[in-house]
Amino acid sequence: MTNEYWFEEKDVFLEISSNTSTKKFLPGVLRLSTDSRDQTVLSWVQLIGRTQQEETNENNKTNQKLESDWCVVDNPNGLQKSNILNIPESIPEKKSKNNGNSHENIANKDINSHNKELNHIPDYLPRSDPYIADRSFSLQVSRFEMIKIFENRSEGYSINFCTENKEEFHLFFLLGEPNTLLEAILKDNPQLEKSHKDSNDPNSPKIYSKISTEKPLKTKSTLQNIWSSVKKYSKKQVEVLQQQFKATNEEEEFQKQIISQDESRLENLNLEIRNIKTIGTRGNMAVNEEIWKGFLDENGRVKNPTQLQKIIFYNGIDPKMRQLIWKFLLGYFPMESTEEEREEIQKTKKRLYQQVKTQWENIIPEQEKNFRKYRQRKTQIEKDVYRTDRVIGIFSEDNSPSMMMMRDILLTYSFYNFDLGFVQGMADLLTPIISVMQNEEDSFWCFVGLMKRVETYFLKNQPGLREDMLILRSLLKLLDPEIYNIFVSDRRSSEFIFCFRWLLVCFKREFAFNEIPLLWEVVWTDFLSDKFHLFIAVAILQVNHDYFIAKYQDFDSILDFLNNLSGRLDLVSLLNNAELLVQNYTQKIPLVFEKAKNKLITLENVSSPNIDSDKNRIDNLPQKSHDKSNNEKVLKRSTSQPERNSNKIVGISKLYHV
Amino acid sequence: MNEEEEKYDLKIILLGSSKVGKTTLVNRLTQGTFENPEQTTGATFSKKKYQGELQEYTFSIWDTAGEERFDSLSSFYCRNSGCELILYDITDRNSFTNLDRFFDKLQYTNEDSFVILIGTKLDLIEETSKLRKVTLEEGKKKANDKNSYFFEISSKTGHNIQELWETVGDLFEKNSQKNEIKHRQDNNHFQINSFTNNQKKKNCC
Repeated sequence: MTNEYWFEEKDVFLEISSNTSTKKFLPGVLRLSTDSRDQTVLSWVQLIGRTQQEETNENNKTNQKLESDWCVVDNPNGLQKSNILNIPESIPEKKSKNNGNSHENIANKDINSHNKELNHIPDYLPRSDPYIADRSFSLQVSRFEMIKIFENRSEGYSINFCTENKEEFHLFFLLGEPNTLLEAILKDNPQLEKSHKDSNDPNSPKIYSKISTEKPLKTKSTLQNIWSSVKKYSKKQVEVLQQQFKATNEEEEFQKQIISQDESRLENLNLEIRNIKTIGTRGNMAVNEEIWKGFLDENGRVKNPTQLQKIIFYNGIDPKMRQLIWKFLLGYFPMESTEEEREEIQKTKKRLYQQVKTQWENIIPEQEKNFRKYRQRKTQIEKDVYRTDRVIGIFSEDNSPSMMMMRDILLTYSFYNFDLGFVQGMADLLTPIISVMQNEEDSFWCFVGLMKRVETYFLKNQPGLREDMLILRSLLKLLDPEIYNIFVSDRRSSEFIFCFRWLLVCFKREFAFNEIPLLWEVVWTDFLSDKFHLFIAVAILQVNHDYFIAKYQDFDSILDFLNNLSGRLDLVSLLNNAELLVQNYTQKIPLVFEKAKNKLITLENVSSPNIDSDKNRIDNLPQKSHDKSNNEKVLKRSTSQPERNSNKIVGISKLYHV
Repeated sequence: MNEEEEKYDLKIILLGSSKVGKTTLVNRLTQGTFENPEQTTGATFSKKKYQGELQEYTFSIWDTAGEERFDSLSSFYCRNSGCELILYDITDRNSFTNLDRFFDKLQYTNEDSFVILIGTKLDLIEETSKLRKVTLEEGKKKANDKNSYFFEISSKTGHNIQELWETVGDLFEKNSQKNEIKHRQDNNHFQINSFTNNQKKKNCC
């Protein structure tokens, strides 16, 4: 009892970070107390900066919230075994009964309603903003050890300290009068030696770091000195910083939203994935006539379509065989059709094509005059036909047969699928088909098959494309979280619009014309995944991982960079990388589920739009073992999960970064 | 820090129906060439220096797809734009009647941005004016109604290209002078706010 004390400081700007995450806090109340067991409790409550959303959330459950604002250190097991940061949870009643005096003071303050807390808010802060329970936390440690102090003159100090369990924490203070503080700390911590960030430049930020690890510290006095040296802000400083932090918080909120959306999308992603571990030899063993014939039974049916898809996926198709096999890949010929049936299909389709084509061919000039929609389509198509792949031999001459074929097919398609009509990008999808088929009717039906795959890309506002961009983003989160974080931390890049061209025309503009057939037939097999093109996109981003880490500036820079990759990408190695990424994905997905489960347990008290659905789903998982009825104490629960306690830093990142 | 890390003083965005000559104009401005480019998918951007009275500026020029179905994208690209070049083809009546769809995009651009309406393909009517479907007066009137500047150009012959570029630069310089004065006034009255604004800029770039 005698060594108990508590200490409190208001208006502290605080930043806590671990290796994996950083969280900034608005001005709050920081409390430090020590109990009879020599456990130090550091608790902090944010006072301002609540968003509209949080306000509504809180209004909905005011009573609950008021009871769960503080974490209480009354669980000896929890104390000794676990020094993790906890979401404040239970009411400190027990404590006030047990301990009395100074702790009771804290306890009373804590349970009391907003009114009391409002008194803590300095006059110059908006009174309408009661504190946010969600943004409070407490940290229990028995001994702190200063590791490093980093002085950044314009902003404040960062202080690294380490608990006896070797967890490292990093507190960042924005301070009014740094010198006083610094002196206090240094006086108490003789083991900290001064150096400069840049050892040659005495004006560079100073670093005080611990050289010897032997001497344990007089923890209490150190911390007390820190807090007591914290100077309050002047009114103006607070205003400025408050606005800055508000902006940062909004961004963070936005980012959080994205990330949680991406996570839940990942969990629900139902990609058809086959997990086969070989790497393709693309090009070397392409499906030639011999291989192809081996696949047909006596009636000409494809005996083992999956095997065929597999071979195509890994090796591609011999250029001579594309004309035939593409028809199967694009659904023109069903795999199970006999040779005879195919002849029949081809005849019928030829007739049908001509039937649709004559519809626009028979439009007489006067009729055309009164048919604005047709006129517009025709002009639009002609405009694009005259500027698509003109560097390619068969399209280079004005009004060449292939060029006219392109026009006729597009015009016929716009009648065949009148609602969709013609949209820019379609011509890009058609030219490789024409160059392979070299026949109008066959090209048309293959084009129809291709358009079926990507039709939603071309609707107004491109719903299919947008969905794929979001899946791409989720995949990136899983497969290359580092660059994912870079993109989502920038609002403009977070929409992944820089991938628009890739996806719309399936990388047609990124590779040479003669590389497109291989790329597309690999994608069309749907062999490893029906979203293989998205894995290719991830592969392209990942190949440039280092660039994004080192040079990322903003959306403009990334668009410019990606546009300039065109023609400089190595197709075969990208396909191989994409393939590895599919494998990577299958291995990581179970982990995602595992993580979601942990998240639920840790974040039970935090309101998040996705938690409820997660919870229901996870509740139904057979692995769930902990006792639902005893769920009042997060702390208890976390101790019943030993595997998680072994990695507390991860626990922090979950709390503050999800 | 790095020579690749360039800041752009002005973002120029080109808008207009398909095949009115947006990419061609960009090529003319940045490379001095004239050719028949492929249709633009998504957007591309290039940069061009402008020699101002006192210093040199770098402008970024954004080329967008004219396709109507990708309209929502051009709204996205319009953000932060300080100058909009809205193009129509003087031999294509539709590209002129469609203009309002692009003027609508101005709501996404910077508040102080300026607009230049441009009639393209002037070379096509040099031999015979039969091909002209939009008169000079109509163009001027439209520009006037929309409170924008106006040019008729030819990217093929280079007619009015230099004048257009000078105008962009002039308007930019005038705008930034105005901003500077305003900024100074703001500074005197609200020192803290301007500090915050600067900070914000730093954060988002």
